[in-house]
Amino acid sequence: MEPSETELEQLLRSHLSGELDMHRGQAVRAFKREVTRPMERRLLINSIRRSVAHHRPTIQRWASMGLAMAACTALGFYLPHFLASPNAVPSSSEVAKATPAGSGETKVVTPEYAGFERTTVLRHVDEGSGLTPEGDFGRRIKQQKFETVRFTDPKTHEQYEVTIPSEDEMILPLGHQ
Amino acid sequence: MDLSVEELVERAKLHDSEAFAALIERFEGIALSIAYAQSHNAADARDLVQECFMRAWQRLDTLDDPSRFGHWLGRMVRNLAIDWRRRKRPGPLDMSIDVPGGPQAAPPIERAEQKGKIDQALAALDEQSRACVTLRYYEGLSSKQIGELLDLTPAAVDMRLSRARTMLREKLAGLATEK
Repeated sequence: MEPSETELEQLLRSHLSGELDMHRGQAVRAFKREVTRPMERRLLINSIRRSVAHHRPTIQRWASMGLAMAACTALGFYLPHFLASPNAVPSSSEVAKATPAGSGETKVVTPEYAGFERTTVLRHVDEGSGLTPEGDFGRRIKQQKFETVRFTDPKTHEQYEVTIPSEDEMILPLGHQ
Repeated sequence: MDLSVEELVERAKLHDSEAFAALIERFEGIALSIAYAQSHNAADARDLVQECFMRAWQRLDTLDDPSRFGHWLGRMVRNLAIDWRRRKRPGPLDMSIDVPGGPQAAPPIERAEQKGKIDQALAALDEQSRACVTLRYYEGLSSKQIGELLDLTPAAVDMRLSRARTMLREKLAGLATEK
């Protein structure tokens, strides 16, 4: 049996609402994001510039003090090595230092730490439409990167894992889709 | 403060982004309806609408008569949809497919069948008629308003709606009693 005028209207209304209602409001959000972002960035850059110009002498003073402190720390750290080592040159096998969680002791990580494993996980999130710096339309893609380094101490069999998350945003021109 | 479309357009032309955001809120449903009629996919319609409003914001200077904003926007959506169809490459996966166990719960079988039937029935209409149907049944616009958006006379809109209704009733026979 064919639906009546009212039934047809109800069917179409509920179908179209089910399809489109969930997308309402997204254009405003995308527009606001696109319009306010460059403005925020511009305001931030300007405020940093003004701040740097105003505090330049103080920044220079603190920067030179910081550099001097870093130099002293480095000297204090390497000087015992120079005095203790017969050839006064750090071992070439020494690549990094790491402290196992909870142990409180400092260990020198050398290539002996076999099973060195590095994983990079990339996650892409489509954040809607955006404009490239050239003003072309594209998709705003947020790239989340998780770089994980795992290694095991062959003597103590302790496992170490360090994860460094980072986030980047890019706009892919629509022609490249 | 409830400003008219003309006032909002004039303000938006002076780079008032809040005024343009208000215009988007007013015209989003209309733009979605037209884009959906053209693309026949809600997710694509959403993307088209976002892109269309960005483009409209950039090209607002070219709109001479602020009272014709809706008509201007409607034409822009249709042109964008045509471009989009040209540049769209067939992909291996249509993201709008309901995947069982996906983030959205799959609809009950009867509802999915009903949705499929209505989709098919709407797909059988020509684009102009589909746009008339979505604007009438989703946005509740009059024939005159639809005609202004789609470059049609009110009589032509009525004729298309009448034909579309006849066709849809035939295609959807049995659905209303199944409910």
